[in-house]
Order: sequence, then C-alpha cells, then structure tokens
Amino acid sequence: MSDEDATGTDAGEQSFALEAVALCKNFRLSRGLHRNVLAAVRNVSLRLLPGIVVALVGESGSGKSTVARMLAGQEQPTGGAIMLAGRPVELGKARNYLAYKRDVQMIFQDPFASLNPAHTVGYHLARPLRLYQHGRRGAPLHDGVVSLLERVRLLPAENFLAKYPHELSGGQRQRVAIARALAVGPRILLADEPVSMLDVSIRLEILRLLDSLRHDLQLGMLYITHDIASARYFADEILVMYAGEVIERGPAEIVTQSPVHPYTQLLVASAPDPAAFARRRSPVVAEHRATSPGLGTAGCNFANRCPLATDSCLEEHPVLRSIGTYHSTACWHAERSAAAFSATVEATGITGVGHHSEATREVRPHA
Amino acid sequence: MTSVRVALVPKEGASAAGSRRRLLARWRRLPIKARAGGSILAAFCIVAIVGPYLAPYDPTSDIVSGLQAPSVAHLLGTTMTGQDVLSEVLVGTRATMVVAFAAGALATCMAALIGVAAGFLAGLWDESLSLLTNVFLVLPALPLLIVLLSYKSADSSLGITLVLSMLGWPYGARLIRAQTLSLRRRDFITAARETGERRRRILWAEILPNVGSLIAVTFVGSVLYAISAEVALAFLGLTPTSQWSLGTILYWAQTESALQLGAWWWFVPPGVFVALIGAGLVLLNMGLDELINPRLRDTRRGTATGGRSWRPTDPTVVAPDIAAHSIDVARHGIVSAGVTRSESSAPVTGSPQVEPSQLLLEVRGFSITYRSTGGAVGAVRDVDLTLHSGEIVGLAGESGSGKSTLAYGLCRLLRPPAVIEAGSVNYRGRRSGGARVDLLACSPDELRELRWSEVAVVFQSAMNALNPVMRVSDQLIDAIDAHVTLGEDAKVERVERLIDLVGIPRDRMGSYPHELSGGMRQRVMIAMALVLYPEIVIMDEPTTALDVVVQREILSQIIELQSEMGFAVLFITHDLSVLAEMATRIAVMYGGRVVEVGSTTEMVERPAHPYTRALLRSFPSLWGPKRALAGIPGSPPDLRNPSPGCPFVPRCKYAAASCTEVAMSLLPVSAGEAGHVSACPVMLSPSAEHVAEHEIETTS
Amino acid sequence: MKHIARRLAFYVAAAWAAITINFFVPRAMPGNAVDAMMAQFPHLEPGALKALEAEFGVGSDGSLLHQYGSYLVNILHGNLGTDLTQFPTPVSSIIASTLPWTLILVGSATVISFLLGTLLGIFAAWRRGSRFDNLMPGFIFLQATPYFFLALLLVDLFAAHLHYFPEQRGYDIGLVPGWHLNFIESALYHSLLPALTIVITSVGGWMLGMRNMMITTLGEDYVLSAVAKGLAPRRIMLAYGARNAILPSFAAFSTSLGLVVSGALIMEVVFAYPGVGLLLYNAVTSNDYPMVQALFLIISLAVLGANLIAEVVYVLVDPRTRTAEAA
Repeated sequence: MSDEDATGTDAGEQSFALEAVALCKNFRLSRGLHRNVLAAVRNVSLRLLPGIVVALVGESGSGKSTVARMLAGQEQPTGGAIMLAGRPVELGKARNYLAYKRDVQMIFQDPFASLNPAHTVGYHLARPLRLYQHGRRGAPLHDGVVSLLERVRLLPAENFLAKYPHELSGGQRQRVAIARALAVGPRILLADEPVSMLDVSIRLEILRLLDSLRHDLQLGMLYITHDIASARYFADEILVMYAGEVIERGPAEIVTQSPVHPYTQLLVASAPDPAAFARRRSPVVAEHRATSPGLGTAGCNFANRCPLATDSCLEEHPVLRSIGTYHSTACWHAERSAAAFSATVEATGITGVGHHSEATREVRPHA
Repeated sequence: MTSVRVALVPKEGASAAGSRRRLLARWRRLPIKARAGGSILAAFCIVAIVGPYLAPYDPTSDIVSGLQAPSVAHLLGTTMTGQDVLSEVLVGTRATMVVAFAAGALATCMAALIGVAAGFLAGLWDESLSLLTNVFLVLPALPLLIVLLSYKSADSSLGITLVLSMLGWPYGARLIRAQTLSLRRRDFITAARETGERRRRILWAEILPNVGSLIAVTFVGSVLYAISAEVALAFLGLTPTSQWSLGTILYWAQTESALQLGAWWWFVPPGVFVALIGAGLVLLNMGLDELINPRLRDTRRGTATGGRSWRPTDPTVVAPDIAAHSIDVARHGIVSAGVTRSESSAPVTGSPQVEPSQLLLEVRGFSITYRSTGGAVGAVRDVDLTLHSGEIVGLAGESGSGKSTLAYGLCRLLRPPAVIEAGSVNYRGRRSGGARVDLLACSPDELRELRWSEVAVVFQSAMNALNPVMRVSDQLIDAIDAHVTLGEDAKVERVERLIDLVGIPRDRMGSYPHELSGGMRQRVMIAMALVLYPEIVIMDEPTTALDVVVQREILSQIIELQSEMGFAVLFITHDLSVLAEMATRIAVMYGGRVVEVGSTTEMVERPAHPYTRALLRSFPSLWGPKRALAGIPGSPPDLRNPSPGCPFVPRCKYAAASCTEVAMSLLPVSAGEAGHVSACPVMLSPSAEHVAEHEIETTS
Repeated sequence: MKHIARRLAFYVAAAWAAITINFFVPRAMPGNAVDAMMAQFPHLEPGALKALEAEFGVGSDGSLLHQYGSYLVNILHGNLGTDLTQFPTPVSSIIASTLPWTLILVGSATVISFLLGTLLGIFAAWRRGSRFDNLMPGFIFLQATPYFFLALLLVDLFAAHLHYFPEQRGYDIGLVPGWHLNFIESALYHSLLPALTIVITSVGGWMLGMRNMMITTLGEDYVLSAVAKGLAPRRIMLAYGARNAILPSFAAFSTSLGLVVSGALIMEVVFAYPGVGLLLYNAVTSNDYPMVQALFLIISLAVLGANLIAEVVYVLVDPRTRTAEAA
C-alpha cells in the first residue's frame, strides 16, 4: 500500500471508518475476437471517517464513480478490499448486504432518474423505514417520514408526502433522495456528483445541507465531483483521479492552492472562476490538448499530455509518494512541477497568462 | 392526523361524486384518439354482452325463406337457409370478442412475463428468452396456425384461444423486454437496491408500474392480432363452422356465394363489424402511443397556430396584431427608435455604446408565450436586448429562466405552442446593406436566406444537433450549398479551412458524428456555425456537457476565433463564471425577464440586482482566500402562475412589500457606468447600497 | 464481425426451429395422420404408404432421434416428401412451380405498399394537421379490414359487376404458362386486383408507423439545426427527417413481414391465385399432410430469407450499425 501517511492520522485509535484498500476494478471489453481488459480503477485507497468529507475529483471516465459503486456494494472489486470498522466486507449473502447498507448509503447524480416516477415521495421514504425498522407502521411510520422531510428542509413536510417526483423541482428531488439515504440511519454517505445536474443557485443549498448533515449526524462522506472548486469548499481531503488512479491527494486547501501534479494543475487552471474575470484567463500552466489517457503504457498515464514529461515518465510508472504533510502525488517531477506552478502564479500575479494567437491562421476579411 | 397511507395509496375519493368527476376529468385529458377508440370498443363490448339477448331470432333456426333483403322484420335480411343475419351478427360478435380478448389477455401475460424476466434477469436468461422471442417473431404465425389446425381442427373456442395466444406474444415481449432493460439501468432501481429492497419487490413494485403503459399497448395489439387471425381462420373454415362467430358468418356467406347472389346484407355486416372493432383497437393504440411519446401529441389544438397545419420549417408564429404592425413598419420604412415600445417602459436600453461598434441586433419589448391546452406560460416577458458587432454578450440564467427561449425565439426557431406575443427584433446586417430588417415581419423565405449566413447557432448538445447518418463534412457542405454557389474544390477548401481553424484533424472529416469524441463534436458544431462567416453566432450552452479541461479549450478557441473573425456572440449559459471570463457584457435573466444588464466588469464588481449578487456568491472560487458562500434559498418561479411584480420576491432577502407591485423595467444604476441597468428599484436607493456593502464586509 | 456472426447464428437457430416444429407437429398431434390420409386417399400404393409412415413416424422405424436424423438429412437434400393428390410427384417440384407466383405478387405488392405508405407517412407528418393528415382515420379503417373481406368486395365490384378485372386465377385458362407475351400480359392483368388489395389493406399500417416515426424525428435537435442552417424545406424533410425516421420503420417492416405475408396468403384463396397460399389451403382441406408440412417449411424459410435481406439493407443504410460491428 502506498499511502499509509495520507489519512493515517488516527492509526492508533479504532474509530468507525469505511476503508478502501488498494481497490481495483477491471472491465472486460470484447472487441471482435480479442478480449481487452480496461483497468477502470487501480490501487485506490481511501478512508472515510465520521464527520469528514473526502472528495474524489476527476474528469468523466477517470474511474471516480466506479470507486463509489464498489464502495456502495453495487460493483464487485476485482482486487483489493473494503473494510468497515476494521473488518473486511463480504457482501455475498443478502443479510450481509442489508447490514452493510444500514451503514453505507449512496446519493445519485441525477435526481430525475433516481426517484421512481410511479411512486410518491411518501412511498420513497416509507420503504426504507419499514425495511430497516421492522413493524414500523401507522403513526410512527408517518412521523418518521415527516421528520426525514424536515431534516432535509422540505417544509411543510405534510405537503410533500403525496407528491410525485415529476411535481418537484430538481433541488427538491435531490432533497428527497438525500432523505431516503438518511432513512436507514447510515454512518457513511457516498455522494456521486450530487449537485452537478442542478442549477447553480440550488447547488450551494444542497451542499450546505450535506455539510450540516455531516456535522449534525457525524456522517463520513465521499463527495465525488468534477468541480474541484466545490471540493475546495466542501471537502476536508481531496483525491484527484486520472485514468483510474489517484495521482494526488492531500488536504483540500493544499491541493487546490498548491497543486503539484501537472494534471491537478491543469484541472485547477481550467476551472472557470468568477473571480478570474479581471485577468480574463486563469493561469494556464502549459498548452494541453485533451487527448485520451495513454492507457496500457508502461509509464505515467498522463505522460502524453504532460508538458514536463521526460523519457523516464514514459518508461516507469509513478506511484504515490509523500511530498509534504498528508500531501502525496504520483509524479516523477513533483518538485519541478510545483516550482513551475508557483512561478506562473507569481509571474502573473493571478493576472493570468495572456492568450496566444497563432498569427499564421487565416483571418477572414471582415466587412 | 393523516396517515402515511394516504400518501402511499392514491387518495380515496371523499365522495362518489368527487371520484366520478375526477374520473371524467382524466378521461377528458386522454388523447382524442384514445377516447374515440375506447368509445368504439366500449360500444362493441356492450354489443358482445347484451347482443345475444337482444337478438330477435334464434340464429341457428331457419325461420323463413332464405335470402330475404333487409326489411322491418329482418333488419339485415336473411341467409340462404333463412336465418336472421342480425341475430347471427349479434351472437357472433360475442364469440369473436371473447376469443380475441381472452387470447389477447393470455398473450399479454406471456409477453409481460417473458419480457420482464428477460430484461430484468439479464445475462443468460436474457440471451435465451430473447432468442426464443425473436425466433417466434420471425416464424409466420398464421401458416403455423393453419398447419396446427389442419391436424386437429379445434372443437372449442378454448383451443383456438390457446393457440392464438401461443403465437401472439412475441411482439409485445420484445417491446417489454427493451423497456425493462432500460429501466433496469435507471438509477431508481439501483437506489431501491440501496434501500434494501429484494429482487422480487423491485420487479413488481419498481419496474412493473413503469411498463404498465407498454403492457396496455401490448394488450391492445394482441387483441388486434387475435381478432384478425381468428376471423381469417374461421373464414377458411378451420374453426368449428357450427359456432357463430363473425368469421364463420363470413365463411358461410362465401361458401354459399352470397355476393354472387347479390346478398350483400349477409356478407357486408360481419366484415364491417370486424373492421370497426379493429379500427377501435388501432385508434386506442395510437392514443396510447401519444400518451407514451409526448411528441406525437397534437399541440396544434392549442391556439398557437390558429388551427392551421404546421410544417417543421415554418418560423415561430407571431401573434397577428404585432405581425401586422411589424409588416407595416417594414413596408413604410418607419424606422425610428422606440416606436414599437409601449410607453410604460423607460427609454433606457442595455446598449452602453462603450465603443463605436455597429448595432447589429436590437430586441425590444419581446414576449414569448407557450400556448397550450393547459393554459399559457409566459416564458419570456417584455425583454430588451442589444447586440453590437464583435462583442460577446452573455445571457445567464437558470433553467426555466427563459434564456434559451429568448435566443431561439429571436431567430424564430421555436415551434408551436410557442408564440411571439409582442415586440420587435431588428437586425442590421451586411447583406441588408445596413438597412434594418424586422425578423418578425420576414417571410419564411427571407428568413431562410438570413439563417446561418447571418445568424448561426451552436447547439447545446452537438451529439443531438448533428445528423447521425450524415458524414460531418457533408453537413458543413449542406450549409454552404443552401446559401452560396461554390465549385466543388472551393467548397472542400472552405470546409478544410474551418476544420483546421477549430483544430480537428482533416482525416476526421469523413467521420459520422458518433465516431467522434464529445469535444470533437462540439468543434465540428462550431466549424459548421462559422462556415458561412456569419455576423452573429448564438451559442446555447456549448460547453456544459464537457469536462472542465475540454471546456476550457473550447472556450479559448471561441474567444480566439471571435477575435480573429469578428462575429458577435450571444452566449447562453447557466454558468456565470464562464461569462465573467469571456463576455463583453452580461444580461441576467430570471423568471422570463432580463433583470440586469451591464458590462462584465460592472456586473461582477458592482452587481445591482439581488439575484445577480446572490448568483455571484453561489460560485465557490479557487482563487484567493475562501469566501463565505451563500446559495439562494427556495425554488425557481412557477411561470404558469406568475406572481405580480418582481419574480424574485419569494427568494429575495431585500424584498419589500412594494416589490410585488413594482413594474419590471430596467433602470440605470446610479453609481455604475452608462449602460448598467437593473430591474430592482429597492437596491438602487442609497440606503440599500449601504445594506449590501455592509453585508459583503461581514461575510468576507 | 461478432455482430454478423451473432445474426447469422440467429437465423440458423430460427431455421432450425422451423424445421424442428415441422418435424414434431405431426408426431405430437393426437390421432393418426396416416389413417386420415388413408381415408382421404384410399387408392394409395403400398410403397407410398410405407413412405408416409416413415415420414410421420407411425411405423416402428427406429427411435424418434433416428427419425429426426433422417428427416434432417432429407431436408438438407431438398427432399420434402411425396405429394398425395398428384402421387408420386415430389412435393418440392409442385412448390417450385407455385412459389414464383407468390413471391412475385406478394413480394412486389408488399414492397410497393411499404414504399407508398412510407411516402404518405412522410407527407402526413410533415404537414401535420393538414387535410391530408386528417384522412388518417380512413386509412385506419382500411387497415383494420380483413384482407379477404376487402378482396371479395373488390372482386364483386370490379370483376363481377364492372368487369374491369378478371375474377380469379393467375392467367387465362386457355394459356400455357411460359415466357411469351400473351401469357405475361395475362398474368400481369390477373395480378392487378390482388396486388391492389394487398396495397390497400396494408398501406395504412406503414403510413401510420412512418408518420409517427417521422413526427418523433422531426422533434430532434438535428432537424432544428437544419432549419437554423436555412436549408431548403425539401432537403430537411428528406435528408434530415425521413432519412432518419425510415430506419426504425424499416426495422418494423422486417419484423412484421411474417404477419403481412400471412394475410396475403389468405388473399390468394379468394382470388384462386395459383400461389403457395392456395396450395396450402387446398392441401389442408384435402388432408394432404406432406404438402402442408413442406409448405409451412418453405413459407417460414422464405420469411426468414426476407428478414435476412432486410437486415443486410438496414446495415447498409445506418452507419451506426456498421461501427458497432467494427468495434
């Protein structure tokens, strides 16, 4: 294992935690007669502790959702282990699965798809209550549903009971989905892009709701997102994934303010930012072209897009190594890269790098 | 205290009368085809139930002399052997309907069972059940029926029913399997599993309710199939000829040469009955299709097109009164500013005239309504907007704010039930030689000439906006061909130049859209928009579906192309942060109205409208120290029941009682630059400024 | 590659299913088919009887598996048995002489009906709510009318009363079938009314299907982008709307071939048209089981073949299926 240092703050005490230990997931792709294996997730380790939010950041196809699905028990890992409160999780039997789900729940990206259009809000919330708290019917069940709705601030709760999902706005639906996840009284919440389908004005409200839940209920949370800026505000620790691997991890503020891996730097530089209007451009570290990750190469997956890539990057696969307190990255040129970034930021003073126009391009005669 | 049960089960009616009224209302909401088909079928069901009792004679006994023409005694005449045709038909209808409905029900059960099982169990089960289904589907059922019946002619209708249902299920099974398969991948099934639901429960409580409409379609289709097969077999004499069904009546009529003898009354009624029942079933199925697929629903029945037929290339309908006015203005060349504007709104426009750029597009008092049977929704209300040559105007707003409706409406790309209710859209372009053209008064042909060569559109989802069965290069050439006459070589050269410009390798030009990546498709879309060097490019969330890194690349490309080619951009997005980086000016929309317009610097540094302020503070920033973030509580406004005055009132923390009475007009922001206008009078007053500043200080 | 292999495997499986059903139906049916035939054809030669018994598994000619094996071998050699009404003519040669009649009439009428219906559907959808579109209920009524019923009415009207068309048969009685002008002319003349019947009763279905597909397609973004591009309406209708809408309609065409062909077969009975349908009807009414069996097999295989052709055409017209294969 490559990352004992990252979250190993409390190695001694046995607190409740959901851990992923070197998780791997291979998907088999059949192309004609050849069978290829796609390593969607490779050696991902992380630990979710009560009251702590860990963000998993990456572009689509980076494997971040696969990690969540494995942790939720929807997908079987092809390697590594999942540990709950120090014990390895075996989900084979139905009873084990139910017991696991009592502790670990998931929220989905699309609130339009995650609620059954044929059922009311009341039904969605009453089902888990009845399944997990046997014999709960009538008035106690009703009270339970109402208090869940109040918890996610759908008020007045009575008004929402008989509503169908299509009668709710996106934000309200996502609140119902959160309430459903809370119904079983979980200790870990896996949130797969919980706000990316919502309007900007609603996103923050939902994130604040999740934030207050983790404080009030001491939930451990995995926050999966492609929006690194929201991870800065919402998460304690950030793990950046690229091509199935964690390539940088560390405290949220450090990863976003002094990113070390060239890919993290690219991600940070690419994020649109209202504060960046004055400079018209965020500091672009280097000219990157989005190409598909160089899968199957012996070396670094990012090498074919990396401005700092050298021969060694193409030959040897970098693993996570510590570069500071709780901060680690998988890059052979971490020091050089960090220096380059701070130099750019210094030089531009957050006024950005002017954009380069290639003069050779043909310009149309404008009337 | 109300019990949860009320929420879980559909509400039991307070009274019988209430539930009857509700039922009637639901019936009225059904598509007309479903109602027509249902009525026909209901009529025949009644005939099937009471018909035999109403039959004036015993159909088997020969009472009178044969082949009598219709008369008062025998409304449909008599057969060769002297039976009453009407009585035969009444009795026969029941037999035919019973067999058809029973076979249809059985076939539907099989189809649902096999379809849902295959779709839900997946894997090997799916493989084998699908194979079975498809084999049965391609085997010709009727010849097989004939073969089976040739060995052992069925002596009861039960046998026929069983055989018919055995062969009638595959089509429905295929439909239901496909639906189940797609449902199984939906998140709510995974979510139910998360909740701890068992497989069986998921099957019948989560999946089955969602294939209900498809099961209904299958049932109607199976009955249709069964009825035609039963009648055909009976006509061939392969069912017991001594039992009266519509088919056997036809069989006897044909055997005894009814038509040759001129006894049409014997032959025609049973056939017409079959055709009517069939037509009822087809109509019902069409109605069900409309319920499932909203696009098939006829929106024309609203008042949008005034009941006329409508073609997809027709421009958005303009309400008759302003259409007449606009044409008048265009014809007589009355081109003075503010003519088309109602006097209530102040003369302030969103055009700052910062630099002496040419005014390209001028939208005034623009309103768009979606007129449907359920009522009218004012999606865009009294909007003013200007666009100058070479500038990027950002149109920001959340979903339902009307930003896309506005953009598509001003180039008249909206379809019914959208109607342009008021306003004017004046365009001064190259090709019109600087003269003013009112887009709302243009004929379809004039508009077609302006399209793409003057105003091009980059759609949100390039995947959907590119024709899936056409090569990318052909789609660019298509646009060229529609507007300019160029030689083959010149066309290829033009296409290649643009493809180079947006950075796509030339060898991808022959690709089909599905062979390209998301970013690549969006570049194709941009290249296509620029292929005629348009004056204005409307960009509708061009990067929303893309990853941030790709988004950044495409945005840089747009800025680069824009500064090189000099076109003006109307950039629609929900992401204000994108606009902050690229737009010259920003217009913010809320609830169908433009609530604030100003230069980007003004808008970001001195936002005047509470909504703009709140929106800006909703973005987590990567740069500088962490700021306190505040979302906007509440939900977007319901445009069906707009509240009077400012639409933001329910979510606004500065809202005063007077806000519900205020006329929404854009007023100049006193401390701001010229051209910075806001629709919030409260925040424009000095005291409010103070409040706002104070608040910013405390939170930062 | 894999896709093609899968589809071919499917057709082999379907053909095998048809052949196997054909083998088991006479054996599974109660009663003795040979006895029934004996009753119908009392003057059968002993040799024929023996052959029949072998064919229908009545005698003790080895195990079922063995019978099945020799049955498969016979089929593969094109040996479909001996006809009883025209003993000892092989069934296959009788079918071979009637099959072209059906193939040409039913095949071309079905294709014409599909093309016509598709075209009408395109126009109905394009001019939605127009007078033409509102003719729909009429088409629905025709579509719901049984083939044979309409056929008989048409015969009565156009042949018996107006004498525009001949009433029955595929050609004039006096003519000898062959490739000479008289005969071809007569055959064409005789095929007009049956073809018309097929077209009238089936065109509504294709039209309705295409109309709905077209309306759905016209709601797609790429049609809107074509409008925004300022393309000529005709180009949008055909290259953007119809070109995409026809794909699912075409898929539906291939799956409902079996149903359409079945209806056409009954129509042959009405017109006494010398095709497979009439042959099947005559065989059934005279208990000529070898012929019934063989005809079912031939019809099934013909429908399978038509499906295969339709599928190949589909791959040619939809580029997306081609990539799916390459991947």
